[in-house]
Amino acid sequence: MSALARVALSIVGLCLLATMPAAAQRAADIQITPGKLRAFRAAVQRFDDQMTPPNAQRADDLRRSIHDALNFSGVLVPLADEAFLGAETTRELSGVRRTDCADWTQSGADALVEGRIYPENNRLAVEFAVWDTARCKRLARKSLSRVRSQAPLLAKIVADEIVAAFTGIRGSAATEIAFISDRSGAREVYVADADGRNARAATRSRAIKAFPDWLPNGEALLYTAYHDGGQPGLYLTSRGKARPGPLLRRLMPEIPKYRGVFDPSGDTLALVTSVDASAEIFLVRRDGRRLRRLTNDGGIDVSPTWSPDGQQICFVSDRSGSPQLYIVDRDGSNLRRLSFEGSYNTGPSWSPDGRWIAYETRLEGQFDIWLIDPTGEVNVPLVTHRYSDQSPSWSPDGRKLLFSSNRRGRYDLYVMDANGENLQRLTQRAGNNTGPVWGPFLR
Amino acid sequence: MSESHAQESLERREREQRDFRRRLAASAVAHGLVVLALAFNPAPPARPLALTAITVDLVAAVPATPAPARKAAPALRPPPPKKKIVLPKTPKPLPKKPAKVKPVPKPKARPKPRPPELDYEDALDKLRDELGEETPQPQAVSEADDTIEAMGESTGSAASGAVMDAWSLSVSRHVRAGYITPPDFRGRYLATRVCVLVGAGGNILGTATVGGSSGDPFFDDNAVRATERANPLPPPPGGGREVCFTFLGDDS
Repeated sequence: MSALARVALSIVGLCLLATMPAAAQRAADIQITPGKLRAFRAAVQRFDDQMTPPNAQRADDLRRSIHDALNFSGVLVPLADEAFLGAETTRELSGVRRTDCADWTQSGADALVEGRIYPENNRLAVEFAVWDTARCKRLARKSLSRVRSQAPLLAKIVADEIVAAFTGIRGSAATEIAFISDRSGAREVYVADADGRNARAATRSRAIKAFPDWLPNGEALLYTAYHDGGQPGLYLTSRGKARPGPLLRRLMPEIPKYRGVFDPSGDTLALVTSVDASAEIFLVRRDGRRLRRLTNDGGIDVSPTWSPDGQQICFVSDRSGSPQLYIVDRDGSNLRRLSFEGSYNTGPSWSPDGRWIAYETRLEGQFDIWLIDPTGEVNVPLVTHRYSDQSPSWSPDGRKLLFSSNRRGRYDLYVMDANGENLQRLTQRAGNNTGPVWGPFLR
Repeated sequence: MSESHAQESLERREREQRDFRRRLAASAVAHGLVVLALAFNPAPPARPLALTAITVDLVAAVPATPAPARKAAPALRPPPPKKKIVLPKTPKPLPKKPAKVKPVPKPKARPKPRPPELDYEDALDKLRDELGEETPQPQAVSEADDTIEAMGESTGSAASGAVMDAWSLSVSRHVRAGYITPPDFRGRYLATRVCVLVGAGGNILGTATVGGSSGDPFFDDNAVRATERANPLPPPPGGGREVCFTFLGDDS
């Protein structure tokens, strides 16, 4: 039905209702609570290949990659080809209106994705549109391009944009993760796609590495390295403008630097260092200036994680006699204890939406992952297993959690939805993989 | 009678006849003068007309015949031991095409009663609605007889609260079945109010509109999407109406 017809029908309906007795027209609001959890179904057409020469395989591969990325998102799932009542291949991108929405809703599709592939300065470009079939409304129309070898990445970006069209928040299929792996014999920093594929070493110095952390723009990784006989120090490995190499070398050179965590702006580090034989947290600029002590007590204060607005830090302290979670404002004020259950709580990771802090808690000798809200009022288990599940890290869209677990003997990386569903293993038979941290959205 | 009396009578009659003729002639002369005067006089100046338009509501006359008897309401009895909700018979859903407004039939002197039709009740209700009439209520009902079962059989615009509750429940289930809430929206204290016009057959007329935003446009869009996906809704008792939903992001 065209928009004009719908508007006209609305007017007719209003006129009809205006003639009804008022009492007959009104009823109390009907409350609709969330129904059974399921994903939206997306009918993804095979994009029209306008490259020279055209290649049907390219369009099929792109579509398959979009399907995989949608499945990874957990928000939308691809509609099976057999259910299609409309065209499987885009012939021409629609304008602002289309007439076949009823066919797609009949197919069971909540979303329809159409598109074309075309050359752009020797790059691979796609133009695509996302339709809401129920409302017969176009939600998004975009053009993207990448070098030809990055066609799979292009498909992931398309899938993430489809997710954004429906929810307002991009998917995380096109992001990356970093972790520590001993698959080569030494503990090195590795980077992989968010689905675990394409893992590659980011360091190769044979020093022991730990605690990788992304620069918020994704252009560099910070990590701790223990060189032979030396103090642990912070290092950058860069693929952008940041200069690789040691960081804060001139800052307290005699003091070990156990860990650094960038604030959301990327300008300031929460630095874990040692003072008077006790680990404390400092704040310092990346260039080493404006050093300021954040914690000051006789206990061990470690594992800082920033709130998404950068105004608070959650960390672990044993000042009460056992490792527990604490929150403090960026200026050192308003310190309060967050966790009271369990005798060993550590590894906090603040969610991108600020609502939750994932952490690991030790129960009967092994670790489970729990969620606690920043007020401490809600504290619920998320991942429980008779083996250890550790080092939770949020995806940048806040929909998933990445963690390591030894449930198969070695430590592997796993990802699951933030509601505890859709558990997937990301690493396969490749040493121990620990300390994962999810990277930011691609820019 | 004497002859003199007869003579007087004749003379009196002649006088009367003369007088009558005189009056008749005078009257004829007077009328002739008036006609002549009118014939030669110019027309009087026209009165200025009031140009203000007067808007009136034109209401077609209703056939004088009494409305055909509705389905007999069940005998009002004391409630049975186990109460059972009896929903009114649901009319067939309307076709998806926009409903055409049928012209009101012209009044006839003695219209024949129309043969009963399947959707007669609906048509009658619609007509009543258009005329702003109240649907006839059952006869006086005592409190003891005002049961869910009894009211369930009464159709029309004044559906009972119990019937409306039952309908609301079925609508709620129907809409909820298509309310897809991705994890992003779950557990958040969001609420969007969406209102639609529902025809007698349950079809949503026009588009759903957001009557109260949650503040998150994507949550609002998802609420509208769920509403559109639920089309058609279970037919409302008592004919078309406006229905508003409050979509929640949290089920606690």
